Amino acid sequence: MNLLGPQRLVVRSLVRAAFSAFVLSVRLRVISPWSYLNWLVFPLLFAIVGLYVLSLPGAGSSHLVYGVLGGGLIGYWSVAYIDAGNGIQDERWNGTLEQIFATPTPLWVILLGKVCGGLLFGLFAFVPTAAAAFFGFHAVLPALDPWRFVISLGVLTLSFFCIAITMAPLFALWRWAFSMINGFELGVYILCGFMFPVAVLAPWAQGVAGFLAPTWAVKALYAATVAQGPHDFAAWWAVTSGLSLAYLAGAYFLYALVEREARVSGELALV
Amino acid sequence: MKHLGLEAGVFARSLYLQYVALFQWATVRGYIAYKVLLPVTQILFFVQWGVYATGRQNALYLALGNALQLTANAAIFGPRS
Repeated sequence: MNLLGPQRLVVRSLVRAAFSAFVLSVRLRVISPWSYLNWLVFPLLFAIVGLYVLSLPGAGSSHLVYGVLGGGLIGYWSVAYIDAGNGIQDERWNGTLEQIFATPTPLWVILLGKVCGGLLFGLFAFVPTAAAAFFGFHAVLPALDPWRFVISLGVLTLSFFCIAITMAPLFALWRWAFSMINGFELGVYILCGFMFPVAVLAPWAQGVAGFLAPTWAVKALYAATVAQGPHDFAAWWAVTSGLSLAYLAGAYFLYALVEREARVSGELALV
Repeated sequence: MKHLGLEAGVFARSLYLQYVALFQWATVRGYIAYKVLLPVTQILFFVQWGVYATGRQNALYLALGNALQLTANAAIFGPRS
Protein backbone atom coordinates (compact mmCIF):
# COMPACT_ATOMS: atom_id res chain seq x y z
CA MET A 1 0.00 0.00 0.00
CA ASN A 2 1.43 3.38 -0.96
CA LEU A 3 1.06 5.62 2.16
CA LEU A 4 2.81 8.52 0.47
CA GLY A 5 0.12 8.76 -2.20
CA PRO A 6 -2.48 10.86 -0.30
CA GLN A 7 0.25 13.11 1.18
CA ARG A 8 1.69 13.70 -2.25
CA LEU A 9 -1.77 14.64 -3.51
CA VAL A 10 -2.22 17.14 -0.67
CA VAL A 11 1.19 18.72 -1.31
CA ARG A 12 0.45 18.90 -5.02
CA SER A 13 -2.90 20.62 -4.38
CA LEU A 14 -1.21 23.13 -2.03
CA VAL A 15 1.49 23.91 -4.61
CA ARG A 16 -1.23 24.34 -7.24
CA ALA A 17 -3.18 26.73 -4.96
CA ALA A 18 -0.03 28.79 -4.21
CA PHE A 19 0.82 28.94 -7.92
CA SER A 20 -2.73 30.07 -8.78
CA ALA A 21 -2.49 32.83 -6.17
CA PHE A 22 0.89 33.82 -7.65
CA VAL A 23 -0.50 33.99 -11.21
CA LEU A 24 -3.56 35.96 -10.11
CA SER A 25 -1.47 38.46 -8.11
CA VAL A 26 0.88 38.98 -11.08
CA ARG A 27 -2.07 39.54 -13.44
CA LEU A 28 -3.62 42.05 -11.02
CA ARG A 29 -0.32 43.92 -10.77
CA VAL A 30 0.05 44.07 -14.56
CA ILE A 31 -3.21 46.05 -14.84
CA SER A 32 -2.71 48.14 -11.67
CA PRO A 33 -1.33 51.70 -12.19
CA TRP A 34 -0.38 51.79 -8.49
CA SER A 35 1.92 48.83 -9.05
CA TYR A 36 3.82 50.70 -11.81
CA LEU A 37 4.21 53.67 -9.50
CA ASN A 38 5.85 51.39 -6.94
CA TRP A 39 8.31 49.41 -9.05
CA LEU A 40 8.91 51.81 -11.95
CA VAL A 41 8.31 55.51 -11.20
CA PHE A 42 9.25 55.79 -7.52
CA PRO A 43 12.60 53.90 -7.68
CA LEU A 44 13.52 55.61 -10.94
CA LEU A 45 13.12 59.04 -9.34
CA PHE A 46 15.32 58.01 -6.40
CA ALA A 47 17.89 56.45 -8.73
CA ILE A 48 18.18 59.54 -10.94
CA VAL A 49 18.51 61.91 -7.97
CA GLY A 50 20.95 59.49 -6.32
CA LEU A 51 23.07 59.09 -9.44
CA TYR A 52 23.14 62.86 -9.95
CA VAL A 53 24.21 63.56 -6.36
CA LEU A 54 26.61 60.62 -6.02
CA SER A 55 28.32 61.19 -9.39
CA LEU A 56 29.39 64.75 -8.59
CA PRO A 57 33.11 65.40 -9.29
CA GLY A 58 35.35 63.94 -6.60
CA ALA A 59 32.97 61.14 -5.52
CA GLY A 60 34.57 57.68 -5.34
CA SER A 61 33.42 54.66 -7.36
CA SER A 62 32.03 53.11 -4.17
CA HIS A 63 29.74 56.17 -3.85
CA LEU A 64 28.39 55.67 -7.37
CA VAL A 65 27.53 52.04 -6.64
CA TYR A 66 24.92 53.29 -4.14
CA GLY A 67 23.36 55.35 -6.94
CA VAL A 68 23.25 52.36 -9.31
CA LEU A 69 21.70 49.87 -6.87
CA GLY A 70 20.06 52.15 -4.29
CA GLY A 71 16.99 53.09 -6.36
CA GLY A 72 16.32 49.43 -7.15
CA LEU A 73 16.64 48.46 -3.48
CA ILE A 74 14.19 51.18 -2.47
CA GLY A 75 11.69 49.99 -5.10
CA TYR A 76 12.16 46.36 -4.08
CA TRP A 77 11.57 47.18 -0.40
CA SER A 78 8.52 49.33 -1.16
CA VAL A 79 6.86 46.58 -3.19
CA ALA A 80 7.80 43.94 -0.59
CA TYR A 81 6.27 45.65 2.42
CA ILE A 82 3.39 47.58 0.79
CA ASP A 83 2.17 45.25 -1.97
CA ALA A 84 3.19 41.88 -0.58
CA GLY A 85 2.68 42.86 3.08
CA ASN A 86 -0.92 43.90 2.41
CA GLY A 87 -1.81 40.39 1.20
CA ILE A 88 -4.61 39.92 3.77
CA GLN A 89 -5.71 43.59 3.74
CA ASP A 90 -6.27 43.41 -0.04
CA GLU A 91 -8.74 40.58 0.46
CA ARG A 92 -10.55 42.57 3.13
CA TRP A 93 -10.81 45.62 0.87
CA ASN A 94 -11.99 43.46 -2.05
CA GLY A 95 -14.59 41.72 0.13
CA THR A 96 -13.06 38.27 -0.47
CA LEU A 97 -11.58 37.61 2.99
CA GLU A 98 -14.47 35.41 4.16
CA GLN A 99 -14.32 33.29 0.98
CA ILE A 100 -10.59 32.68 1.51
CA PHE A 101 -11.16 31.55 5.08
CA ALA A 102 -14.00 29.29 3.92
CA THR A 103 -11.77 27.39 1.49
CA PRO A 104 -9.91 24.25 2.69
CA THR A 105 -6.59 25.74 1.55
CA PRO A 106 -4.63 27.24 4.49
CA LEU A 107 -4.28 31.04 4.48
CA TRP A 108 -0.48 30.92 4.43
CA VAL A 109 -0.49 28.95 1.18
CA ILE A 110 -2.50 31.66 -0.60
CA LEU A 111 -0.31 34.35 0.92
CA LEU A 112 2.81 32.47 -0.20
CA GLY A 113 1.73 32.81 -3.83
CA LYS A 114 0.70 36.45 -3.42
CA VAL A 115 3.96 37.43 -1.70
CA CYS A 116 6.04 35.68 -4.39
CA GLY A 117 4.10 37.68 -7.01
CA GLY A 118 4.87 40.89 -5.15
CA LEU A 119 8.57 40.05 -4.82
CA LEU A 120 8.79 39.30 -8.56
CA PHE A 121 7.54 42.80 -9.31
CA GLY A 122 9.88 44.20 -6.69
CA LEU A 123 12.83 42.66 -8.52
CA PHE A 124 11.69 44.48 -11.67
CA ALA A 125 12.64 47.75 -9.92
CA PHE A 126 16.31 47.01 -10.64
CA VAL A 127 15.71 47.06 -14.41
CA PRO A 128 14.76 50.75 -14.93
CA THR A 129 17.23 51.97 -12.30
CA ALA A 130 20.16 50.01 -13.78
CA ALA A 131 19.14 51.20 -17.26
CA ALA A 132 19.03 54.84 -16.04
CA ALA A 133 22.50 54.41 -14.51
CA PHE A 134 23.99 52.86 -17.64
CA PHE A 135 22.35 54.95 -20.37
CA GLY A 136 21.88 58.21 -18.48
CA PHE A 137 25.05 58.38 -16.37
CA HIS A 138 27.37 55.80 -18.02
CA ALA A 139 27.68 54.20 -14.58
CA VAL A 140 28.46 50.52 -14.06
CA LEU A 141 29.26 48.33 -11.06
CA PRO A 142 33.06 48.63 -10.78
CA ALA A 143 34.18 45.19 -9.49
CA LEU A 144 31.18 42.89 -9.69
CA ASP A 145 31.57 39.42 -8.18
CA PRO A 146 28.61 37.76 -10.00
CA TRP A 147 28.13 34.67 -7.85
CA ARG A 148 28.32 36.49 -4.52
CA PHE A 149 26.09 39.22 -5.93
CA VAL A 150 23.43 36.70 -7.00
CA ILE A 151 23.58 34.83 -3.68
CA SER A 152 23.34 38.12 -1.75
CA LEU A 153 20.31 39.13 -3.83
CA GLY A 154 18.77 35.72 -3.11
CA VAL A 155 19.40 36.13 0.64
CA LEU A 156 17.92 39.65 0.49
CA THR A 157 14.87 38.20 -1.26
CA LEU A 158 14.53 35.64 1.53
CA SER A 159 14.58 38.44 4.11
CA PHE A 160 12.00 40.50 2.21
CA PHE A 161 9.85 37.38 1.80
CA CYS A 162 9.92 36.68 5.55
CA ILE A 163 9.18 40.34 6.36
CA ALA A 164 6.22 40.43 3.93
CA ILE A 165 4.84 37.15 5.34
CA THR A 166 5.21 38.56 8.88
CA MET A 167 3.69 41.94 8.07
CA ALA A 168 0.59 40.53 6.33
CA PRO A 169 -1.11 39.41 9.58
CA LEU A 170 0.34 42.41 11.45
CA PHE A 171 -1.33 44.88 9.06
CA ALA A 172 -4.59 42.90 9.16
CA LEU A 173 -4.76 42.79 12.96
CA TRP A 174 -3.75 46.38 13.71
CA ARG A 175 -4.37 49.00 10.99
CA TRP A 176 -2.14 51.54 12.72
CA ALA A 177 0.84 49.17 12.21
CA PHE A 178 0.82 49.97 8.48
CA SER A 179 0.66 53.73 9.14
CA MET A 180 3.63 53.50 11.50
CA ILE A 181 5.79 51.38 9.17
CA ASN A 182 4.76 53.50 6.17
CA GLY A 183 5.70 56.64 8.12
CA PHE A 184 9.05 55.07 9.02
CA GLU A 185 9.80 54.06 5.39
CA LEU A 186 12.73 56.43 4.98
CA GLY A 187 14.00 55.33 8.38
CA VAL A 188 14.30 51.82 6.93
CA TYR A 189 16.30 53.24 3.99
CA ILE A 190 18.71 54.72 6.56
CA LEU A 191 18.98 51.71 8.86
CA CYS A 192 19.26 49.13 6.05
CA GLY A 193 21.87 51.15 4.15
CA PHE A 194 20.01 51.30 0.83
CA MET A 195 21.55 54.59 -0.40
CA PHE A 196 24.62 54.96 1.82
CA PRO A 197 26.54 52.60 4.12
CA VAL A 198 25.31 51.97 7.65
CA ALA A 199 28.89 52.58 8.83
CA VAL A 200 28.36 56.37 8.50
CA LEU A 201 25.58 56.29 11.13
CA ALA A 202 25.99 56.88 14.87
CA PRO A 203 27.01 53.74 16.83
CA TRP A 204 23.59 53.43 18.54
CA ALA A 205 21.86 53.59 15.14
CA GLN A 206 24.19 50.89 13.81
CA GLY A 207 23.16 48.77 16.81
CA VAL A 208 19.47 49.17 15.92
CA ALA A 209 20.23 48.45 12.24
CA GLY A 210 21.87 45.17 13.28
CA PHE A 211 18.47 43.75 14.24
CA LEU A 212 17.10 44.25 10.72
CA ALA A 213 17.71 41.29 8.42
CA PRO A 214 18.00 43.31 5.16
CA THR A 215 20.85 45.40 6.61
CA TRP A 216 23.26 42.45 6.42
CA ALA A 217 22.10 41.26 3.01
CA VAL A 218 22.42 44.79 1.58
CA LYS A 219 25.92 45.01 3.06
CA ALA A 220 26.82 41.76 1.27
CA LEU A 221 25.21 42.98 -1.96
CA TYR A 222 27.30 46.15 -2.03
CA ALA A 223 30.44 44.30 -0.95
CA ALA A 224 30.02 42.06 -4.01
CA THR A 225 30.30 45.11 -6.27
CA VAL A 226 33.44 46.78 -4.86
CA ALA A 227 36.94 45.47 -4.20
CA GLN A 228 37.73 47.48 -1.05
CA GLY A 229 36.32 47.00 2.48
CA PRO A 230 35.43 43.85 4.47
CA HIS A 231 33.99 40.86 2.61
CA ASP A 232 32.53 38.59 5.34
CA PHE A 233 29.86 37.17 3.05
CA ALA A 234 29.20 33.90 4.90
CA ALA A 235 28.65 35.70 8.22
CA TRP A 236 26.36 38.34 6.65
CA TRP A 237 24.27 35.73 4.83
CA ALA A 238 24.00 33.67 8.03
CA VAL A 239 22.86 36.66 10.13
CA THR A 240 20.28 37.65 7.50
CA SER A 241 18.91 34.11 7.30
CA GLY A 242 18.82 33.73 11.10
CA LEU A 243 16.97 37.02 11.64
CA SER A 244 14.55 36.23 8.79
CA LEU A 245 13.69 32.87 10.36
CA ALA A 246 13.19 34.62 13.71
CA TYR A 247 10.65 36.94 12.02
CA LEU A 248 8.88 33.87 10.62
CA ALA A 249 8.68 32.36 14.12
CA GLY A 250 6.95 35.56 15.28
CA ALA A 251 4.63 35.37 12.27
CA TYR A 252 3.44 31.93 13.40
CA PHE A 253 1.78 33.46 16.47
CA LEU A 254 0.35 36.34 14.42
CA TYR A 255 -1.29 33.89 11.99
CA ALA A 256 -2.80 32.02 14.95
CA LEU A 257 -4.25 35.35 16.13
CA VAL A 258 -5.64 36.09 12.64
CA GLU A 259 -7.29 32.65 12.56
CA ARG A 260 -8.83 33.31 15.96
CA GLU A 261 -10.16 36.74 14.92
CA ALA A 262 -11.53 35.36 11.66
CA ARG A 263 -12.95 31.99 12.70
CA VAL A 264 -13.71 32.20 16.44
CA SER A 265 -14.84 35.79 16.96
CA GLY A 266 -15.57 36.59 13.27
CA GLU A 267 -14.29 40.12 13.84
CA LEU A 268 -11.32 40.26 11.45
CA ALA A 269 -13.29 41.90 8.64
CA LEU A 270 -14.47 44.57 11.09
CA VAL A 271 -11.08 45.60 12.55
CA MET B 1 -23.36 88.87 -2.21
CA LYS B 2 -25.31 85.60 -2.07
CA HIS B 3 -22.61 83.89 -4.16
CA LEU B 4 -19.93 85.11 -1.73
CA GLY B 5 -21.95 83.69 1.16
CA LEU B 6 -22.15 80.29 -0.55
CA GLU B 7 -18.39 80.31 -1.15
CA ALA B 8 -17.80 81.20 2.51
CA GLY B 9 -20.05 78.29 3.48
CA VAL B 10 -18.00 75.86 1.37
CA PHE B 11 -14.81 77.25 2.93
CA ALA B 12 -16.20 76.77 6.46
CA ARG B 13 -17.34 73.23 5.74
CA SER B 14 -13.91 72.37 4.25
CA LEU B 15 -12.26 73.71 7.40
CA TYR B 16 -14.53 71.58 9.56
CA LEU B 17 -13.88 68.44 7.47
CA GLN B 18 -10.13 68.99 7.67
CA TYR B 19 -10.48 69.28 11.44
CA VAL B 20 -12.47 66.04 11.56
CA ALA B 21 -9.90 64.31 9.34
CA LEU B 22 -7.09 65.50 11.57
CA PHE B 23 -8.53 64.61 14.97
CA GLN B 24 -11.19 61.98 14.39
CA TRP B 25 -11.00 60.07 11.12
CA ALA B 26 -7.22 60.08 10.72
CA THR B 27 -6.62 59.23 14.41
CA VAL B 28 -3.76 60.35 16.63
CA ARG B 29 -1.63 57.35 15.58
CA GLY B 30 -2.05 58.31 11.92
CA TYR B 31 -1.09 61.87 12.75
CA ILE B 32 2.04 60.71 14.59
CA ALA B 33 3.01 58.39 11.72
CA TYR B 34 2.56 60.89 8.87
CA LYS B 35 3.17 64.23 10.56
CA VAL B 36 5.94 63.33 13.01
CA LEU B 37 7.67 60.08 12.05
CA LEU B 38 7.69 60.61 8.27
CA PRO B 39 9.01 64.22 8.28
CA VAL B 40 11.70 63.47 10.86
CA THR B 41 12.95 60.37 9.02
CA GLN B 42 12.75 62.15 5.65
CA ILE B 43 14.97 64.99 6.88
CA LEU B 44 17.38 62.54 8.53
CA PHE B 45 17.59 60.43 5.36
CA PHE B 46 18.24 63.27 2.92
CA VAL B 47 20.67 65.09 5.23
CA GLN B 48 22.63 61.88 5.85
CA TRP B 49 22.59 61.07 2.12
CA GLY B 50 23.75 64.56 1.17
CA VAL B 51 26.48 64.54 3.80
CA TYR B 52 27.70 61.16 2.52
CA ALA B 53 27.74 62.40 -1.09
CA THR B 54 28.95 65.98 -0.79
CA GLY B 55 30.22 66.56 2.75
CA ARG B 56 28.97 68.35 5.86
CA GLN B 57 28.89 71.84 4.31
CA ASN B 58 25.48 71.21 2.67
CA ALA B 59 23.70 69.67 5.70
CA LEU B 60 21.79 72.83 6.69
CA TYR B 61 20.71 73.45 3.07
CA LEU B 62 19.33 69.91 2.82
CA ALA B 63 17.56 70.09 6.20
CA LEU B 64 15.92 73.43 5.43
CA GLY B 65 14.96 72.33 1.91
CA ASN B 66 13.25 69.23 3.19
CA ALA B 67 11.50 71.15 5.97
CA LEU B 68 10.11 73.61 3.40
CA GLN B 69 9.02 70.79 1.10
CA LEU B 70 7.27 68.96 3.96
CA THR B 71 5.48 72.13 5.07
CA ALA B 72 4.32 72.86 1.52
CA ASN B 73 3.21 69.24 1.13
CA ALA B 74 1.12 69.39 4.31
CA ALA B 75 -0.46 72.70 3.28
CA ILE B 76 -1.36 71.51 -0.23
CA PHE B 77 -2.50 67.95 0.44
CA GLY B 78 -3.91 68.34 3.94
CA PRO B 79 -3.35 66.48 7.16
CA ARG B 80 -3.16 62.98 5.68
CA SER B 81 -0.40 63.78 3.19
